[in-house]
Amino acid sequence: MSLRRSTAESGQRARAVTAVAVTWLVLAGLAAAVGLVMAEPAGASTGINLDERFSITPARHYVVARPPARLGSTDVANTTRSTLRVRVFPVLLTQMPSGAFSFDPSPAGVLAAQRVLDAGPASFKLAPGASRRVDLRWRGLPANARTANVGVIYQATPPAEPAPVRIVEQLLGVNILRLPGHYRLTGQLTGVHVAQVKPGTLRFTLSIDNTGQAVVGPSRLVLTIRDQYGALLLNKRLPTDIVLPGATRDFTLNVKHQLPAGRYTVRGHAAFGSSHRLAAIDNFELVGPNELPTSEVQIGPLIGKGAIGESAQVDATLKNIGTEAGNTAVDVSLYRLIDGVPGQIPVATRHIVTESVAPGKTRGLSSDIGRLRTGTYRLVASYYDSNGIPQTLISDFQAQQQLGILAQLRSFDSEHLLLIPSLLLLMGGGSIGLLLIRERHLKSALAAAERRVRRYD
Amino acid sequence: MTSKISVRALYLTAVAAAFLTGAGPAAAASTTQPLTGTALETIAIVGAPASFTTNFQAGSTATTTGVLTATDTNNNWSLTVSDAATGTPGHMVAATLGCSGSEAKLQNPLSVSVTSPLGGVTSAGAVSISGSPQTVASATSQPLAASLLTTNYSQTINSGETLLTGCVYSLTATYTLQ
Repeated sequence: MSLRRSTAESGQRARAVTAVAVTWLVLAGLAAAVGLVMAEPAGASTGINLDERFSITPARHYVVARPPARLGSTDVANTTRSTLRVRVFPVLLTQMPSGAFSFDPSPAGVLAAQRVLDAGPASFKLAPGASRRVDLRWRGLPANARTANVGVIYQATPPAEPAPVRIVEQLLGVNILRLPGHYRLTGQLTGVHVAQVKPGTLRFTLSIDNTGQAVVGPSRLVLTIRDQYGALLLNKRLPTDIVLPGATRDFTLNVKHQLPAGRYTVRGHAAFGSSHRLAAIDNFELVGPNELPTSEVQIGPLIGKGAIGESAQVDATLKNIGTEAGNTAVDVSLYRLIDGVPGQIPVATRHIVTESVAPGKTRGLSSDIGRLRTGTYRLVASYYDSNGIPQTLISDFQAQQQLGILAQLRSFDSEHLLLIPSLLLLMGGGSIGLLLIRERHLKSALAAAERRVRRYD
Repeated sequence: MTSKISVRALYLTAVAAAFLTGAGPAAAASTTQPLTGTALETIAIVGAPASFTTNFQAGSTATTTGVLTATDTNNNWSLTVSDAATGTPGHMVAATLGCSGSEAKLQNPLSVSVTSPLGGVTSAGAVSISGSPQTVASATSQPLAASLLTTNYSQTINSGETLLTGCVYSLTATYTLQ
């Protein structure tokens, strides 16, 4: 039953791919014929053109069989003007949320993959205009496994050229392998999210978990948006693709359809294998047409200071000029200046994640870093603004001489006028405390009188 | 006249390709093993090396562009970049000859952004090359016809770095198409 379904799926898929390939070939041919393709002149200036390529066909195999089994071959072709050194090796595949496959190309990773799939020849030279078949053989499965998802890397290295940036090309062939039989094909729609990708464009993401035992894709994936009164504003079917078992995959839709400021509800609906009527919901608010509220935290003047033998004090002001509360992360580096030039390596670094700032509000940022010696220092604070553009603030300062105990007391006393006399009063030095308080009052009165005299003058 | 011939030739090539690709699954299904289904996609790539011609000096940011041609008949495709070098992948390294006294490697990693005039291609923006593959361009629901992609390289060189005149720095970028 599953074999028949698989054959039908494969047939449909092959026909669809063939149709796409034919369409693209015809379109490319038409474009080339009428001179629409700008590739020719650009390619000529860079030394390659669209006819030159390192290619593999087919790029994917979907197989239901019992190992050991021959999977067929892959044609590797070179239409460039150089002889390519080709290396072929298998890798075990995992899948990232974007849908892209990731793999471990280390010797251990390749060895693990070779126990499942053998690709040969493992290396060869491919002359210009030549092609070669690489045979794929399914050798076995890891213990207790009924499926395997194995990639084959076809790596081409052109002759070494004396250029600063040299290129090695890799093509990833994908082999989805499974034993005959029934599989649990289930999934979950774990969420729907909205993000601002650029002004005027919102990106909606539906996240799907493959909780089943085999590779499958959602058979239906629909996104709807309603306003706060329940009116349906958008109903769109998303294109789907495969999800590996155990992987989470994000399916995205960019929406340029103008939605005015207001509150909305987005719903995702999906069917995945035997899991039907999957749904996820999220509410969001727009502060302008297709504009999500965003935080935009700016960092104001940076001030560095400190005494010899102590940490440098970092002070700055955070201001959120965005429409949503947010924070930012700042990398602070402390350099010692020698003849006004900072050393190559900072004497201390610190990564600070700021506290959240409400929209339109400001907040102080205060921290310390490193330990100061005699000399001049440069404090450099770097952060990314809301547009992802790096911002840098600089503050140069001289490490101050540390104050003696008496000087520190005097400095403290001048900043806290009545604190020391009050403490003396409490500790029993009543007359001295009272005298000090009277002295402070007299000083204040004198200063006020001086100010009045100056005003009359 | 030439255009008509080119179109017809391309159309015939396309039809032949369609016939050949259509034959694949049937041939696979006729084997004695219960072996089924082969989707005949083609993926292809080729890249040209790139050179920095100006600003490759301390205290500057050198930029240059290169080109990749790529084809992917999958609806969803992605292109990643990595540097397989051991030690400090992503950092340009001085040649073994003629670089005595020059920095052995640059402090900042080489960054690249891949752009395309085609609609539907999503560029990941500037990416600092490292030992791990990072996506630089991708698309969903859009196959990639034989297309030119522009690789925009940027190398920031700190003012404190010592670069000897004539010393050649290089890096090998591995692009993977899937």
